[in-house]
Amino acid sequence: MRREHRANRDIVYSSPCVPPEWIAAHGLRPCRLIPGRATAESPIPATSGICPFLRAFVNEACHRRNTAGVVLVTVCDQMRRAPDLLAATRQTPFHLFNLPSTWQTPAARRIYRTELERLGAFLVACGGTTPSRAELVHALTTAERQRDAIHAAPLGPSDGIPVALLGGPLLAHDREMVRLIAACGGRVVLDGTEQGVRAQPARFRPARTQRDPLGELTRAYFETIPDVFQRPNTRLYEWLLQHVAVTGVRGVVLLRQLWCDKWHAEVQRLREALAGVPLLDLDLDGNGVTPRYRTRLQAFLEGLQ
Amino acid sequence: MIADKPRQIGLAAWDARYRAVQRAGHTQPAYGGPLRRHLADGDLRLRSLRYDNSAAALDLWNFLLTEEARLHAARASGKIIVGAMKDLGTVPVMAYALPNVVAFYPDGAWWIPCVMELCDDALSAADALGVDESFCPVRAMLGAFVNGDHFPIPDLLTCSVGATCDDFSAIAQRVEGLGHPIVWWEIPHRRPPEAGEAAVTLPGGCVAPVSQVAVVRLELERVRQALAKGVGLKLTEQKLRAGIAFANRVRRCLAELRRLSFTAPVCPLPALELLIAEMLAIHYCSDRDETLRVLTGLLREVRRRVRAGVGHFDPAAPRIFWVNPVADLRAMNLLEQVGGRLCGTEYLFLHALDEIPTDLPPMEALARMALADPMVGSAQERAERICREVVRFGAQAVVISRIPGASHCASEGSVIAGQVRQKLGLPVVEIEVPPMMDALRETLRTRLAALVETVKESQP
Repeated sequence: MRREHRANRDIVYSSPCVPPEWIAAHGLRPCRLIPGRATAESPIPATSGICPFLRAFVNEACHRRNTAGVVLVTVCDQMRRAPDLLAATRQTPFHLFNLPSTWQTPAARRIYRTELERLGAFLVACGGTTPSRAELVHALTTAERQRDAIHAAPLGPSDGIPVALLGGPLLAHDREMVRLIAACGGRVVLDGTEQGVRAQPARFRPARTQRDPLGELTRAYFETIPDVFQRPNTRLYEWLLQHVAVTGVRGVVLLRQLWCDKWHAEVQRLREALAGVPLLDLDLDGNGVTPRYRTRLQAFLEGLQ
Repeated sequence: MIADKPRQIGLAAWDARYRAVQRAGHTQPAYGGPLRRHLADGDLRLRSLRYDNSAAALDLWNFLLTEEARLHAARASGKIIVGAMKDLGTVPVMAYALPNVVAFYPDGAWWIPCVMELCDDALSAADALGVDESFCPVRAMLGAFVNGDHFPIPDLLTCSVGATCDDFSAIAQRVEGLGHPIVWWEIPHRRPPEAGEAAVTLPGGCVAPVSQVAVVRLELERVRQALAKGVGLKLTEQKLRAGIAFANRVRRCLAELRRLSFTAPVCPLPALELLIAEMLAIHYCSDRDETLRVLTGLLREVRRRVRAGVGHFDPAAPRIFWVNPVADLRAMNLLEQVGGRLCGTEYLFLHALDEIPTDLPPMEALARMALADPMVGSAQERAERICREVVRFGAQAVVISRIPGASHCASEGSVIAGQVRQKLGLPVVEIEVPPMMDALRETLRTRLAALVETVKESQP
């Protein structure tokens, strides 16, 4: 059988646009890495202008055990350019997934689907096996069941001022922000970060899944997940406004990595779009939740009371 | 043509020089006149620059500094104005293939803060929208859309996206958010072909998968349709071929200008004028025919100087290759003031200086050219081409000029520097040039002077 045990089976990635089902269907283990503080100094040393998340992700992925391959996704210019920084340390195989920024055209969908196929070839090169249609369908239905179970879990305490988190990827210790919000009298009712509900794929349609599972993966991941890098990024605003209204959010905390131009440039537009729902803009420098965040969060939540 | 000794002169000296040029019978274009008059438009940086003293350089500067007036005149005369954003030499070729169209490069607004010495409110308008100094100086474009002081709002806006810098993508999205619809077209990250995958060699020498070229071709087809719809005319293969043929005339002219300027025993044209000349070729400065005329005039002057063996600077001046355009034009003067001579450039758009293939269907040729953009591939590939160009022009050292806040500059400088040092064994210095470098002038001078001295020390 092709599911035999291998020492290095982990395929490490961070973008929600990489379908873990696709990796699992190849007989490898999808590992969505949420890196900790960047302690390793290689292959990317601390450099002014480098995104703290990128650095932490790449450095941790490269030093992680049991890694068969790393998938980088072109969600931003720095992630796109990460392979340049890995050139000197090609110990771990990596793959650059070309994620289109446009999304309204058939051509963009074709690019995404073709990129899934190219990722498949990489997974085979990492020791995986090309799945049959039945195996892929099985992987899709299994993953969906697992997602349903995870998202039934509550985010935090049941009382407090309802707030939303918004933003890109977070380091593990950035998640401390949820606890800090609770400590300041708030309650996260909507997670719009890259690791939250915003970045969940759409539900698979059973009939389409049976007929064309790769096409259904493309629809669920590429055609529905809203993100700031998309051009135009109207889907993000539609998602946000709809969910803010439904959840009764009274304030939005934007968590963006330092040097992330795409989130940074949207701050004021988000404020205007949220019309009356205040937004707190916090830039994360990779050093975790420091006292300055507590002070700002306290003031923000006091203002919402 | 006036055949005086080539010199670099300041704005004040150009007053007298202008009269001499007139007396010599130089026929000036309609936009001609003394350079000083541009001060009244707020172009205060002109006071600090050193210029080539030729009549051809006068035309070059006047042509550059009258672009805004040209665009407003085009709007008044009913022409369709196309803003080709994040586009280095592709959409303008298509747009100018249609009659009654003027294409321009809104990104060029990044020089407004420099040219107007921060006296314009383009940057403060961007600040007010939350796009602060942590972004690349191209944020001035956002301010220009807001204040409307610099260019008329285009009838059609296009913007490439995908394998582009985050600053520009983010700022262009804000432009659209202000109510200016954009035709976004995808330019994928250029990757090496997989084993056994069909591939083509692009202009400039990079190799790309055929499938990626096909993607870009389809995206450019969307742009083609948008242009045709905007103008109300079909953009036929014949028109495109004519547009490509014209672009190649401009590119051949510029190629010869660069070759002579970088390789002649005595430097026939200073760095600043060469920078402007290169910029004209990517978007035609809102007048394609005049671009060719201005560049041809410069080439004529350069040929004359080369034949006469006259030019600027010490013939033994260290030969410097320059990577990335500078936000402050004064930096190009500074290189020469510390004793260097420009011998090769890579201002992010070498692909737009390569001739577009004419033995292919036009859209296929344009797609290959667009995908050859050094910025859509890896920094390694860009560095490889830089190394080839350094060797081609015999440069002895390399300056990598970082663009403040630009997403690509955080990492690619070290990759390029590493390759140049490893492959060529040449000295490299990295600098960062802000829109107004005055406060850093001595620091930059020291770093550039050290590079020049290093080359001099290594000469036998």
